[in-house]
Amino acid sequence: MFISNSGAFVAPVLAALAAGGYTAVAVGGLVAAVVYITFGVIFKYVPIENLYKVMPKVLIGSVTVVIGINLMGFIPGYIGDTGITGVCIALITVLAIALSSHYFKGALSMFPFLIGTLVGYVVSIPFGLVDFSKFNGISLIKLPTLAFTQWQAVDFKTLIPIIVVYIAFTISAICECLSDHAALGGIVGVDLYKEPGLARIFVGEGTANLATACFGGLGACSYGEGVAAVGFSKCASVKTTCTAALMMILLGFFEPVQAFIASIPSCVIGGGTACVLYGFISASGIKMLKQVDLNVQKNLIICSVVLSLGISGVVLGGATFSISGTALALVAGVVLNLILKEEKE
Amino acid sequence: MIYGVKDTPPVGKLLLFSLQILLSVFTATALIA
Repeated sequence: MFISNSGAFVAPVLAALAAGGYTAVAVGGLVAAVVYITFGVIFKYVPIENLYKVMPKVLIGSVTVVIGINLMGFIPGYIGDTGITGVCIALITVLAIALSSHYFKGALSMFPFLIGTLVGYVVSIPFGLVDFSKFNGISLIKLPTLAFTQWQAVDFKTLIPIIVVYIAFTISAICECLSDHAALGGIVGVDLYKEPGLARIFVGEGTANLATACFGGLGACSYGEGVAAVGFSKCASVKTTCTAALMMILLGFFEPVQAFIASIPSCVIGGGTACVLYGFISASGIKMLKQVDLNVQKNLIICSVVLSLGISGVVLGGATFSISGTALALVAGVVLNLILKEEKE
Repeated sequence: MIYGVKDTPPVGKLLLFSLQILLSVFTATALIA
């Protein structure tokens, strides 16, 4: 599972920055880590079978569909103001990914996104969509501004509301973490709740939050995009994910590589690859739902409510704390699953 | 899956797989940053 800066933490990070700068952000990261690790400790002693009673296959499948569909909403933003040219290049990228994934044999079939990105990049050049100015005035190595160098003394009273907000948002992010791992587990064919286990998953996410708050300044959560990339390449190797993480960290220091990736038009990397990646996540959910008997009324209701609440954009809460999208759908699904009794045959 | 959770792909493939994951998550990371 790839963990990186999460949109789920943008609101609390902005609140923390306003209240106490990067010191408050670091405290927020520490709070998130404590919440995650607390859940990790709980699930070290609570049998995982209890979680399956709370989150049956119909719920996990429906939530996985919701994750993919909600991510699809970002695709028009990736294409941006490039108009019909951008849409066409995105479609060419999609076509290159589809053809290479389906017709190429051997090793080439494992890298459809690299091939698609390369094709989209080359096609974008004559249309002037590749921003070569990103390469101007760059140096080989440059130390990024690290968040902990900006720490300063803060009055503890200003941190109390930040702590409360971070606790609430971390609980919401835990729901996202659970559904992402369920989706990844379904794709790689391993029950990740059992191996490596929820305790280690939560401790990992907590540690990532602490690290990213101290070094980068944002909160972190699992990435649906990484889940789909694993499924498409058919490579579930943990060492691959670790190498990708190492490359991402090193990227922060090497400006030429940063410039190259930044020069890839967003209609290629976002519009093109995201079309396939996000659809793949939803398709994985549909695959799970195929194993569920939707003629059973309880399953049908849970599936219907999760899809509606997850996709409709309904928000529960206000400025201090709100829950919406995947997290709201998951909570509603858990509640329904607990209160609706099994039908007698 | 061609390579399972505990498998290690050859170095060349491992780097390409990693780059593929990196590209797939990069858009979302850059958008949030």
